[in-house]
Amino acid sequence: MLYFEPNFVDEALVLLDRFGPDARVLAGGTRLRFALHPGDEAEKIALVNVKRISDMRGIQRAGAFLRVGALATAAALTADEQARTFAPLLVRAAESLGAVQLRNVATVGGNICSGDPASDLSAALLAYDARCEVASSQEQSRIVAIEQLLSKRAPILASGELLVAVEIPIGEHRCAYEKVMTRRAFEMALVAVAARCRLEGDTLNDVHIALAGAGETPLRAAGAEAWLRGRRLDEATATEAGRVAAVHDAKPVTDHRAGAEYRRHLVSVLTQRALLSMSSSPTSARSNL
Amino acid sequence: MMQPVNLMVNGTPYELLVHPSRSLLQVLRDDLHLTGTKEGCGTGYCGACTVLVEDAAVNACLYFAVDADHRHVRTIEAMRAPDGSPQALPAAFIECSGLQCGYCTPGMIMSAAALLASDPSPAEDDVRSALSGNICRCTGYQSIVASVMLAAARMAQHERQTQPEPSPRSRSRA
Ligand SMILES: Cc1cc2nc3c(=O)[nH]c(=O)nc-3n(C[C@H](O)[C@H](O)[C@H](O)COP(=O)(O)OP(=O)(O)OC[C@H]3O[C@@H](n4cnc5c(N)ncnc54)[C@H](O)[C@@H]3O)c2cc1C
Ligand code: FES
Ligand code: FES
Repeated sequence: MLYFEPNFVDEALVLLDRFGPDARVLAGGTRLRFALHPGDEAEKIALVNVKRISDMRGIQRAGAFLRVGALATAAALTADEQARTFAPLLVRAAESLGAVQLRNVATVGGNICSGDPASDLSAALLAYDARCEVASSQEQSRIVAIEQLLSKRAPILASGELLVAVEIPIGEHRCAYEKVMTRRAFEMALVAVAARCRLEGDTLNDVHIALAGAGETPLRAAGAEAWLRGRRLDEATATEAGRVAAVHDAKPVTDHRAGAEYRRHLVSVLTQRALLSMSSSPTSARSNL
Repeated sequence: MMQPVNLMVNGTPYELLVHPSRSLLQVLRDDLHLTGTKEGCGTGYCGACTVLVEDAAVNACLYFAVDADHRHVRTIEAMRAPDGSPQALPAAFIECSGLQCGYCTPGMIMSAAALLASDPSPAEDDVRSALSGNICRCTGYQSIVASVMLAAARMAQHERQTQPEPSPRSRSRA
């Protein structure tokens, strides 16, 4: 097994190119650790630890976006003032991720690139319509919608590609993160619902709903979003939207943790809860900030 | 291929050659013979292996040892006073029966140490939340939370007693 610590994105890309399918990007390592099996195969692996690459770090405002480096940890997100102001939904998802020990290490990039269907940060980023900055030696850097990245199962990125940062559009919104899991702190969500919207009076606008654990990848509840557009937010609306999300949008699977039908039920209940809690939640990221 | 790694563990520098696949837990226990840190599940699901890297609690079983190069690591072995007696946290665990079999204890104490470093007077809920990544199969947690609360109170008292006299300059200004 080979090990590298490149200092720059370009340097990392050369390594990813050179070792092709044998290269593994190392971020926090909390997922990668158990994806490497000892033996001859593992000996061919080239670990590319990206921690020195400053372009992949930090959380800053960049024009109309909040730029979150792929190396930002869940703990860094929860502690960051700008993230709390401009991306409160991502912060809530980060607060719900694992336990302290995991949040201190697990990165945004690793969360997306693991391609877990129940990834918390991926779900929040989907609800934000975040853009991802992906670099490869072929194209210096391209911007891809998170929905496109997450539209297929892992591997999310092709060999040779590096996720550098995610960019979250800044704008006034309310948000909610609802999650059910069998044990706090150790288990991933059975289902989580990330939602954001704008309310004009009690009329819903710009509704975004993302579901984690409700399919083979995290996904947008496009049917429920379309149905909600322009409606008044009340109990009946929330209940019907939950039904639409469960019946039309969710594509739940049965695995050792939960059956598909139970997951479908959770989508309905959590979507309803998320919508109702937004009617009372404070508005964040005021545009005058 | 072995990789040179410089580790600072509990204030002592180590120069090691480490296979990149090894975890920090394996290196601490097998190479440095610091066996206070325990392996429970080995997969991130119990917290027995908790150590501090740059003052942040991490699961040593998930942490690549090569990633700890040039970083400061603190383990349960650091939790004694210069005279060898237990520091406030382990002392409180002994006093409150915060342990039975003791297997989870090093991890519990390191998670608690990270909490108290950032929040010296936590509420009980803060303690429970800071320890939510540590499983105990013996105590039922009650006595563990009590241990951390007692240690926090003792450390705060000690802090007050050992606070230096105000310096002459600030006194004259008063
Ligand atoms: C006990 C436990 C509990 C967990 N609980 C949760 C939970 O509640 N919620 C949740 O969402 N997840 C959870 N996870 C899953 C996981 O640890 C996280 O999703 C985490 O965010 C992964 O980040 P990392 O930095 O550790 O990734 P790594 O392990 O470093 O990387 C993961 C994968 O992504 C690739 N990769 C990483 N960064 C990049 C990049 N910038 N560009 C290209 N490829 C990259 C790696 O090569 C690897 O294939 C849990 C895991 C464990 C072990
Ligand atoms: S041994 Fe590391 S979390 Fe269980
Ligand atoms: S004291 Fe036995 S596991 Fe906690």
